[in-house]
Amino acid sequence: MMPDIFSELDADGSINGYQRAANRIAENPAGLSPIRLRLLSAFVIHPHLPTLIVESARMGMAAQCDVGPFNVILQELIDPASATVTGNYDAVLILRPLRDASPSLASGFLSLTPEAVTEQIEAAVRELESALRRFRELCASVVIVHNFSLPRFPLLGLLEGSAEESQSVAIRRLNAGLNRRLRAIPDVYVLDFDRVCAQVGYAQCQDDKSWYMARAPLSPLLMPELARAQATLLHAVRGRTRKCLVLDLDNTLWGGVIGEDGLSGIALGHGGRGLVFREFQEAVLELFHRGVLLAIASKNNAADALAVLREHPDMLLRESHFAAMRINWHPKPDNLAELAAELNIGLDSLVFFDDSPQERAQMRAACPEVLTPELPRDPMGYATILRRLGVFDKLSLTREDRLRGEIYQQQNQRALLRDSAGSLEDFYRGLEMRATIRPVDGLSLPRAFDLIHKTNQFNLTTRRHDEQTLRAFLESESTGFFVLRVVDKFGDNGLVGVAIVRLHDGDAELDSLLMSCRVIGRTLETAFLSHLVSWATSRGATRMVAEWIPTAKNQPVARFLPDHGFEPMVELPEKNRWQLDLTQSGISWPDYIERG
Amino acid sequence: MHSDHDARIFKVLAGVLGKSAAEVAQLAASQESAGGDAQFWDSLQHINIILGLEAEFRVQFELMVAIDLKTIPRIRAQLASMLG
Repeated sequence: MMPDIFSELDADGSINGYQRAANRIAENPAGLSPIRLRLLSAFVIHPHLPTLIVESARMGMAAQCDVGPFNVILQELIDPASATVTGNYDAVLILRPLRDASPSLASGFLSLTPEAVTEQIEAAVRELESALRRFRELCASVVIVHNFSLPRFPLLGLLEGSAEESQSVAIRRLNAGLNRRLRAIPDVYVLDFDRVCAQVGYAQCQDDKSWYMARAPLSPLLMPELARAQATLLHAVRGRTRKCLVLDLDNTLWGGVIGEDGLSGIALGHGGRGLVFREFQEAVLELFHRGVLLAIASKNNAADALAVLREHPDMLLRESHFAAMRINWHPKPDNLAELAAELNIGLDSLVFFDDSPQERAQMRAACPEVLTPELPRDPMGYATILRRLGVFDKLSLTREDRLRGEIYQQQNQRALLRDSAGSLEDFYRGLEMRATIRPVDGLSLPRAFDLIHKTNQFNLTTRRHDEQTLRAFLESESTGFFVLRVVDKFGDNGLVGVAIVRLHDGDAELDSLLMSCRVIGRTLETAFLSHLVSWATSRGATRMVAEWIPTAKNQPVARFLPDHGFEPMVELPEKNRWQLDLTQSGISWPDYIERG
Repeated sequence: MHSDHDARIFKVLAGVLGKSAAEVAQLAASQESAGGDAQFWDSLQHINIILGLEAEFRVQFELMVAIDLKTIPRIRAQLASMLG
């Protein structure tokens, strides 16, 4: 049903078209995950809601929108009894035009001294910052703050671009201040509203008629673009970020069919149609460098296709960029299932990009979890669609993200070594592993948060602690909060494991233990547990208590506790509570893993 | 009065107000007989009606005209005067 709504809408595109589509989504939100939103704005925002509902649905969310009382944004944030605080919303969106946040920067700018400008910027940032800090104490909802757009009409006219002091410069400083200061508050994110306005065009962002008639300034051109940015951010906040782009080859990565046109006959290069495909590959490569895994699903003779990857001078994507490939004549849904299994990710982490409408239809029918974007007939539009998709967008980019592609390449070499090694222990020894376990600090916290929120398989309890809770663990004397880094002969795997142990009454409670699937099956978990046991013992604990909380995906850790000598705490096995007497037994560190 | 205009006006209003075209036609008839300028829709629906009519008939209403289009009879008369 959903794709019909969207294709109808994209053909129409009017605001009333959005209203009709939003009604249909509200009538039948099947398959969408509900998200409750509170909008606080200093102008009438209601006309925007249909676009927000539609663009959220495009990203898999059924948005239920409440609009706060007109123009009392700060009061709503700091009043413990306000509907915003007590409403238990998934996210609160704050839209304030400059004339509301700082009247003097907005309309009195030219009479301000440079010192006064600086003061006004600081005051506007501080006011919002302190309201949000108070809000954070009151409630756990995610907050999305929209920054300020540059003026539609530059106050200094021609000089605006070159003057040292101008309203535009002041707004940029204000936005930089918001970024820096609000980022420090947990679960508060800044949406670059100025960027959205620039994209649409400053001159086209306000609808005068609707402003004068209803105090609703957002133009019909701006609303869908803004809604898309909001939905993308909400998608990322909810941790729905997709991890892998699976690409077709013929007429997707290059023009033509390699099996028929041959290496010199396909379109790929610097001229004409070839440039279209080369620039599409550039867009793919951008995703690779942001940590998105690439894979191939192509119906071809493998030798023909590999020849292009290896030999064609204008290919930007080479064999080494792909974490996995299926080049054969099997149905693509089967191949995607295999790719997901090989990469240890779910089908709901995949995006499938294929020029053939038949392949797309088959994929949507067989694997609805895979995101299969609709593509135009003209390949000229592919790069734009990929860059606007938004489903790979993350809230932060860690060092591991930038290196992920390389890490998976090393992984392939490790698998080769396992095939050639003799005993399992020889294999482990041959890996020359070094495990470094350290308490989490400010630098490693973002990666730890990332792992806690996305690790599904090797995860004992799957507790998705929020950032605030994790920061509390950092401060707590009675909590051990550790990250595991693994280096081996093929390279640095980065931070791949997290554990949280909480001490109370002589017990060490294993709150969380999880590891990236990249390093499963190498006994690193034993080393990690050994470290945790020594830490707990040194703090006077006499017993370690742990539980396995089964989920749809964490079967790999079902036997972890009994395999390491834990005894059931109660006779009922379904309780899954286990204990290890630390006065009797320890856990020894595998001797083939070096301590870092 | 163009009946062709009526059908298109009713379609736009029906979409914004969440009613059937027949219900809008009834509303139109009752407003014609009652006269006056009691506005049946709220200010946001008003904006959407204006935008919808502008898109449907490819016209632009001046602000004061748009504010004044509070009833279906007025919408009919205005479009008739603009489109003939």
